[in-house]
Order: sequence, then C-alpha cells, then structure tokens
Amino acid sequence: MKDAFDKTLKAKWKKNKSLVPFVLPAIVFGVLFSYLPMVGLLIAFKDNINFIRYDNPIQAFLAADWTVKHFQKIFSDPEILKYIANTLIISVLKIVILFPLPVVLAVMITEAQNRGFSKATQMAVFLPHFLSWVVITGIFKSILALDGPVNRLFGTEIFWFGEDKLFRWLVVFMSGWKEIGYSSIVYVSAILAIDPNLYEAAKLDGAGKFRQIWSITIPSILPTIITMLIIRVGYLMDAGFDQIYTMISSTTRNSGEIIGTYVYRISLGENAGQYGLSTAVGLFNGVVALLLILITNKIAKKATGTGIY
Amino acid sequence: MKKSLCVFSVVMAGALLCPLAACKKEASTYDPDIDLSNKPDLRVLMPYSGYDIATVNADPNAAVVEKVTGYKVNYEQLPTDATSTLNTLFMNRDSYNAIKLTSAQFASLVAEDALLDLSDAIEDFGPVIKEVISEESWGTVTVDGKIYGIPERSSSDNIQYPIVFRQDWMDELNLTMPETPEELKTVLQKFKDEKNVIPLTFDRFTPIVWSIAAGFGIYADWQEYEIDGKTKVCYYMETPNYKEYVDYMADLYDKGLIDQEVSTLESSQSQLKFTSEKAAAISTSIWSVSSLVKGLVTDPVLQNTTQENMFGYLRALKYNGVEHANRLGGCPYVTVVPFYMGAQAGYVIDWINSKLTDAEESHNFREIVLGEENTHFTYNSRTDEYNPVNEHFAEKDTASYYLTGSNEKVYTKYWLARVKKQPELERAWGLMMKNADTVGVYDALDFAPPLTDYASVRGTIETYAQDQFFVMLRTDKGTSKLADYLKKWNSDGGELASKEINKWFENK
Amino acid sequence: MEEIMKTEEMVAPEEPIAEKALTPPTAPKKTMHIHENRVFHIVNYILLTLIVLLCLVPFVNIIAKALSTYTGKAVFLLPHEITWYNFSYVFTNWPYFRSFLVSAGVTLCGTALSVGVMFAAAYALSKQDFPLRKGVMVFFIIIMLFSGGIVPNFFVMKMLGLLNTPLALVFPSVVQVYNLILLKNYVEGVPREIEESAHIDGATNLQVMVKILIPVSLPAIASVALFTAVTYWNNYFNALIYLSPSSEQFYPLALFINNYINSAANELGDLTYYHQKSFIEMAMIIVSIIPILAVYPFVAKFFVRGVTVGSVKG
Repeated sequence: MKDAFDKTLKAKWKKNKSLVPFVLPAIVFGVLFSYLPMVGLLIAFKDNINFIRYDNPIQAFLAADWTVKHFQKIFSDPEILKYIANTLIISVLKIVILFPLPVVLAVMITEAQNRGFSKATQMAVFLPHFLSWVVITGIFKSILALDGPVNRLFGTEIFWFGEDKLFRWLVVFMSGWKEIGYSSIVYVSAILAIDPNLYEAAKLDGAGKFRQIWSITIPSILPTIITMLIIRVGYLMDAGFDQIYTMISSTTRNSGEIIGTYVYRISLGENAGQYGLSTAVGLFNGVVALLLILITNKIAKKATGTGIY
Repeated sequence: MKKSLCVFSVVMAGALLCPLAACKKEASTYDPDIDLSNKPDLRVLMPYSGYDIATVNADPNAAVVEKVTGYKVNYEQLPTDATSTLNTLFMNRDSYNAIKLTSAQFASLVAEDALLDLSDAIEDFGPVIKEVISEESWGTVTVDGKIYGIPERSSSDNIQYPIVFRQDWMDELNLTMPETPEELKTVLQKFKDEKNVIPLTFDRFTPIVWSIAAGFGIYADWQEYEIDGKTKVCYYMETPNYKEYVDYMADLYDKGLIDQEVSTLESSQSQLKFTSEKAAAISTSIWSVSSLVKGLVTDPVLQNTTQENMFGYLRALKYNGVEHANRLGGCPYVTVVPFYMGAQAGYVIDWINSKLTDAEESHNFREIVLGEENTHFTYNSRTDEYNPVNEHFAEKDTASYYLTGSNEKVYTKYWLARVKKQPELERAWGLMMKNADTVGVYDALDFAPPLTDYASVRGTIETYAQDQFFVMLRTDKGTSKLADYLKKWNSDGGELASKEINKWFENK
Repeated sequence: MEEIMKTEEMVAPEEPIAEKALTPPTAPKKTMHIHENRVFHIVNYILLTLIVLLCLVPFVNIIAKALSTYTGKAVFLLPHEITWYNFSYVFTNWPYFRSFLVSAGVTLCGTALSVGVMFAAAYALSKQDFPLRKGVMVFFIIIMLFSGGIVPNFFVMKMLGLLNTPLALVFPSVVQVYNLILLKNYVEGVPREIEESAHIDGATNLQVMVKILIPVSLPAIASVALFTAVTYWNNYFNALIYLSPSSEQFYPLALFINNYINSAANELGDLTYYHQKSFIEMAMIIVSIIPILAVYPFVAKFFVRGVTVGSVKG
C-alpha cells in the first residue's frame, strides 16, 4: 500500500515537477510572512511576556513562565457561554439571511438588459464596502434616531440602537447593507462567464426567465457558491468585531456582545505588553475555524462533488 | 520541495536562536558626565497633533522653545492608535531622547519596566524642575522612590462638569437654579411640559453626572468614605449613596426627563441636540461652552460679540445643605526617557529645566505659553492679570502641545489669558471656580503613583460600571439587581484594584 | 413597496407554465412567456432601483456634510450653507496628497504582485495530479485562519530588514488565500482539451498559462484584482505596526484618515476649524473613494458575457 502510494507520488512528481516553480513564490511568501510569525502562537501559553526589556524576542520568550491561564480565563467566566452563544447566533443569522442575497442580487444585475443601468447598479451597490464601520454606524444612528427620518416616516418611536431585542436584526441588516453588493461581484463575474448558447437553447425550448435562472444560471455558478459558503462557514466564530464594536452600547450587550468584543473589553485596560489573552483567543478561533472548514468541505464534496481542495 | 522547506525552517530557527547566550534583562544606565556646552540635537516623540509633522516642526512655538533653550529639537509624532507603535518602537530600540506620554500609556510602560529612572538626572541637571513641580505631582510618577518621568499638571485644577441650562428658557418659565434633587426634578418637568423639549441630555460615557451625583454625596470615582470608623477608598459603585443616585436617575429617565437615547449618544451628538434647540440642558465640560455658544448663534456676524448670560450653570446640587463638586487633579501627560537612552538623559533634563525656568532674568516658560509681552499678551500689574492680544494670540493656540512638564507656580495665571478669548467661557470658568478650594473634592487617585493591578483592570471595571448604570437606568428601571452587578464588578477586577488602592492609601 | 408585492404575486403562479414550457413550444405559450419576461424585467428594474437608492442615501448624507458649513443643526440630505471649504482643505493638504500617492503606489504594486503570484499557484494547483496537492491547499488554508499576532510579525519584518520601508506594506498581503481558491476553481473549469492541444504543440507550462489560461480567465482575474486592490487600499494596520513615527512619509491614506478622524481638535483653538472638522472628515472619505470609482468601470469591462470557451463551471 505504502509502496504504491510512493510510486504514484513519484510518478506525479516526475510528470508535474515543472509546475513546482509556479507555486513556489506563493509558498515562500506564505512561509516568510505567515508561518514564521505563527511561532508566536506559543505566546498564548506564556504569562506576562516582556518583549521590551530583553535583547531579542527569544530571550523574552524563554524568560516568561508557561501558563494555561489565558485559556482558563476564556472559559471560566460564567458569562462567556452567553457570549459564545451570541457569536454563533449572530453568525448563523448572517449566513442564513445574508449568504443567498448576493447571489440573488448578482442574478438581478446580470438580467438587467440595459448595460449602462447594469454597470451603474454594480457600482452603486459596491460603494458601501468602502466606508468604515465607524462612519456607517454614525450615519445609521442619525437615520434611525428617535426623532430621525425613519421613525418620522413610519410614525413610530423605536429606539433602534438601544433596544436589546432588535439589536441582532439591526446587526444583520447593516452588515447586509455594507457587504451584499461587494460579495455579489464574484457571482456577477461568474454568471457573465456562462456560455450564452445555453440560454439561447433554453429560450428555444421556451423556458421562461425563472426557469432559465433556476436550471442554467444557478447550476453553472454552484461551484462558486459552494466555495464561498465553505469559506464563510470558516468564519463562524467571527461575527464581525469592527461592526459590533461600533454599534454596541450598555443596554444591548446582553444580546449583542460577542467573543471578540468581550475579549477586547476584558483586556482593555491591560498593559499593552500582555499579548497572551488575545493570542489565546485567536488560536482557539483558528482551531474551530479549521475544523469547520474541513468538515464543510467534506460534506460539500460528498454532496455536490465540489470543494475548496 | 518539502525538504527545502525543512532546511529553510532549520536555518531560520538557527538564525533566531543564535544570540541565546543568557536571558538577562538589558541594562539601563544613566550617564552623568556630559558636556552641557555642546548641546546635541534632541529627538522627541510627541502625541498625535492633528497636523503633518513638518507643520509641527515649523510651528512658531517650536521655534520659541528652541530659542529659549538653545536645543535644536526634531519632533516626531505617534499615530492616534498608539499602543502597538509604542511597544514596537521600544522593541526596536528607536533612539528617541524623550517621549511625551498620556498618563495611561505611562502606567503601562512603567509596568513593563521600559523607562529610565530619572531621579539622579533631575538631581544633577534639574534644579528648576525640582522647584516648580509640586510634591503632589511628583507622586504620580514615583514608584519605590524612583522617578520615571516629568509630570505635566494641567493649567489649573478645574471644577469643570456643570449642567448647562438655556438661561433664556429658564427666565421665560420663571425658573431659578435648582439646589436639591427635588428642585431639579421640578425644573426638568417644567421644561418638558412647557417647552416640549428633551429636558436634559448627556452622553453615553457619563454614568455619573457630577453635578447631580453631588446631591447624593458622590464627588469622585474613587472617594474616601468612613466605613465602620475606618477610612476606606471606594469606587462610586460600591458606595451606599450610589443606590439612591441611580434610583433617582432611573425615575427621571422613566418620566422622560432625561434624553431617552442617552445610552447611545456620542458627546458631539448630545451637543448637537442642545445647539439645535431640542434639549434644554446638557451635562458637559465647560470647555465646550464656546462651541455651544457658536452652535446656537449661527449668525456669523454675532460670533465674536458678547453673548450676555446666555447660559445658566449648575455646578453641583447640595448634599445635606452643603455644596461640594468634583475637581479635576493629577497630571494628564508625562515626559519620559526610554530605558536604553540613558547616555543623553542629562541633556533632556537640562532642556526641560530651561523650558520651565521663569524668573526675572529669563521668562522662558512664559514665552512658551504666552509669547511676547505686548505682542501676544498684555500684563495688568494692578490686578496681576494677563490678557490676550487677540490678533496675535492665535499663534499661541498650539503652545500647550510643546510643553513637557509645566511650571505649576505660574501656569494657572498664564492660562487664564486663554479662557479670556471667549467671554461666555470666562464667565463659566469664573462661576465654576468660585471658592474652588472649599467646594472642590479631588479623586482619591488623582495624585496616586502608577498602580500596576489597578492599571491592568481599570478599563474593564470602568466600562462595566458604566454599562450597568445604563442597564439600570433603562432596562431594570432601578437598583433591583445592583447587588449582582457589584459582585460581578468585584470578580472582574474591582476587588483586586480596591485592595491595591487601599493598601497604597493606608501607607500614604 | 406594496405595489411591488402585488407584481410579484402576479409572477408567482408562473412556475407550472415554465414546467410545461420544456415541451416543444406552441404559439400561445410563447406570448405568455413574452409577457412573463416583461413583468420580470419591470420588477427587476424597480427592485434594483430601490436597492441602489438604499445604498446611495448614506452617500448623499456624506456628500451633504462634506459641502456644509456648521450651523449647529444636524445635516441630513441637503447641505447647510454650501461651502467648498472642506474640499479645499483636503486638496490643499500636502500630507493627504502624499498619503494618497503612497496608497496608489502600494496598491498598484501589491495588486500586480499578489494576483501574479496567486494565479501562478492557482494554475499549478488546478492540476488534479499535482504532487501533494491537498497538503499544499491545507498549507494555504492554515494561513487564512491563523495569525501569529503583532509582535512576532514585527520581529520577522525586522529580521528581513523591511521595517520602515514601503515594501512592508506590500509583502505581508501578497498571499490572499480566498483569491487563490477563487482562481483555482475558475481555472479548473477551463476545459482540459485546449491546454492539452497546446502541450502537444510543444508549448511550455509558462506559455500555456500566459497565452491560453490568462486570456480565458480574465473575468476571474479582474474580480480578484479588484478585491486585492481594495484590500491594499483600505489596509492601515500594517503601516501601524511596521512603520515607525519617523516614517510618516510612507503612511497610506487609510492610516492618514484614521489618524485624522481620531484626533481631537482643540476647542480652545480655532473654533471654525473645530466645528468644520467632522465635515472635513467626510470630504476626505469622499476623495479617498474616487480612485476605486475610477477603476471600477475599467475592471467591469472584463466581466463580459461569453468570454470563456465552451461550458465552464464557476
């Protein structure tokens, strides 16, 4: 068995060794700028590491004590379960509600026959991606203020940003507003690459618009959709730190606080030199993400034959 | 390919591990043998200015500093998001002769043992520094008898958080300035009923509205209390009076007398409500008075004319018939020398020493802060007051940025010239500072040294207390869950901080 | 809104007709499809217009603020007392312009390098029998999910001598795994036969990639290049760690704007400036989006129907 494996590997190597230089630059960049620093993940197991007073980082590393207290801290707080739950709920809401919308939008954009209109639309929906969350939250706060235009328009008195029950939905809505257009670009380029002859044939068969979309467009871009989904699932533990950090306030922490913002909060006043806790959270999130990606990839491969590798 | 990877990583690991002789901390030494007649150029790192660094270096105030001290200084500035930059520049041993830090940045770098002990250098080269900085201020930078920086105390210890009322509306409704919580409630109710506006607004970073909390005997974040015959320093959340304060505020909120959006408002947003006449009163710092005036007087022609008695100021409600108010103390900035820059530390101290010098023969400090007499300011010897000469004084707007420590003996007097630029602000400041020495109450920690444990949990416990105030105000509608919150506050680090603070306090 | 709901209802019972439509068409059904298509397009245009408006409202707000004079009232859709002060402040601000140039340079070089490196890797990895293909993919996925953190990154850059150089802004973002996966999927979809015939003609891998695969992959390359450019244009974190305060001349635009927004204007200083500052910020944001707006139509040119040959997945 092993011999056979070696043999095929050797055969593969022989056939494809001329391709190796093509991946090499990417691997070199990866090793230098990602893997080498990844040694630093060990900081998650160090207490009070002081990088300033030692000649070089290795000395600082060796001088610090080993500890698992950062992981204990993450899991010992009784409130952490609630924050993990919040993270998952917001993430899942974002995936379920927001993941399909860029596909729909891409279909709509590509179906618009007027090319000028289609291009203008693409550009308009793409714009919100360029605003930082600080700016976006500021704008939405004024639009949704108690005496703001939205409440006046509907004659309501809803305190959008201060109402715990509405908070998650507001997060999902604003996240959608910012990213749907940007995410749809991948699908737009994929749809436009579909062979137009397929549509011609379907038209001859008398298929209506919905039929065409359902049986040509969607299957054609399914691999792209699955790829995006797998990557998206990998980010399940990250419910959008920047966004929630700018949106959250005292009265919405109950349903809105996520692991990212919580850790930021408990390490807020901590000496800037204490990197252990945030590294520990990063490591934990990374491991969960890796598992999720491997699992979804496997499922996707079984079910549809496409995965990311 | 895999092999090459292996080789590569081995080489890399080797390169990193080579200098692994001994894990000893790098030494930090100060060199007293320097020649003051041969002044080197100094590299000084400043906080973010809002301008390009070329502008900072070309500013006339920088030239004044160079003129009076004889040192050529190259200023550089931190980005606004300074935490990681500060750490990396120390790791990289960037050769800054001096760095001007905020007190929080100072505390964290002290904890990392990153700063040079300046005690000897001050002894050798800083006679003026020693003289013009008060014992209190030295306390904020001294740990175990070692001085780690030159503290910069603010111009004057201000009482600066009033509730600003629309005086015209108060006159219109025949209201007088309230003195007790009940009177305040009546006034706010009147605004709501008669003017149909938000009676009182403030921002989401203000769980303690100082002028109201004073009516319940709360004057500072950390305050001394007599508990069982012993004096203890307590956080406001721990005090028995806090419960009454929160219940009172929750009642105001419930009756619609406090801005319903207060838990999400930035300070600029609450100011905008006041200036667009949607709110009748705002709790803010007096330094925003000039912008409140400008906001309300949109006519550009009126800007520079006097706005007589535009606002009413509530400094503090009375508690048991006595008025006390929070007074700001301490040193917001500290100038330090990195631990590895000891060789030239003497020059830095000499530089600061001549900046603070203010005597008959050389008014260096005055020239930096106020400029030239009769060009930038005039002196009235009868009243002992300094007045700005308006057309030139704008040049001194940026002067305080260039300070590295202040001459505490004279700074307050100089600084008043600046307050005088705006009549309403001058009036407000005058009202707030009336009898300041008897009315004002300092925070127990205003002049505390950097406390390591407290510094490490400070952000956490402050945010927690702030959050829970708004939760009680809006969600709980009162203090029913206060005991639980207090427990959580303690376990989040409150207890740790409290212990350290009280230990320091007892040995003070 | 209600009107649209109705039209959608009208379209809804459409499914069974389409079902039948797969059988050879007859005349009356065809007219029904024409009708259906028209309704589809009308609804589509209306919805898209609404979406566009929803996206643009906040921009109108930003532009209104960028053109406003401070009056103490909140600005919503219309500017108060229109002024060019804010824009002229931005345009006469040399450091802003300098940061703009730095960002442009870093974005151009970074995008070219990153897309080139990623495409080459995607090309090799698209070969099903590439040795250790799975392992190499996992190698990249790990890059996507784990980061060593600020300090180790800093020391690696120090070791490589890249601190305080513009290269420190370019190199760390070269590996974009997300883009690698997109490109790889796209290339996998290109029919093997085209490549193979080229190989039979004696073309090398490089020739095949450059002459055959790149032209057919242009739509994918265009969108990936756009993503990469956006990443570079918006990144300020690298500058924060790898550039010391003495390298202010290399600050990218995003860091400049971030600094400017976070800095407090002095209330005791120039009051006009103090009040205009929040509006100047808006003008800075508007100007910073312009380059991407200018590039977008150019990129969109590559999203053209039917570039690829034959039936292509992805």
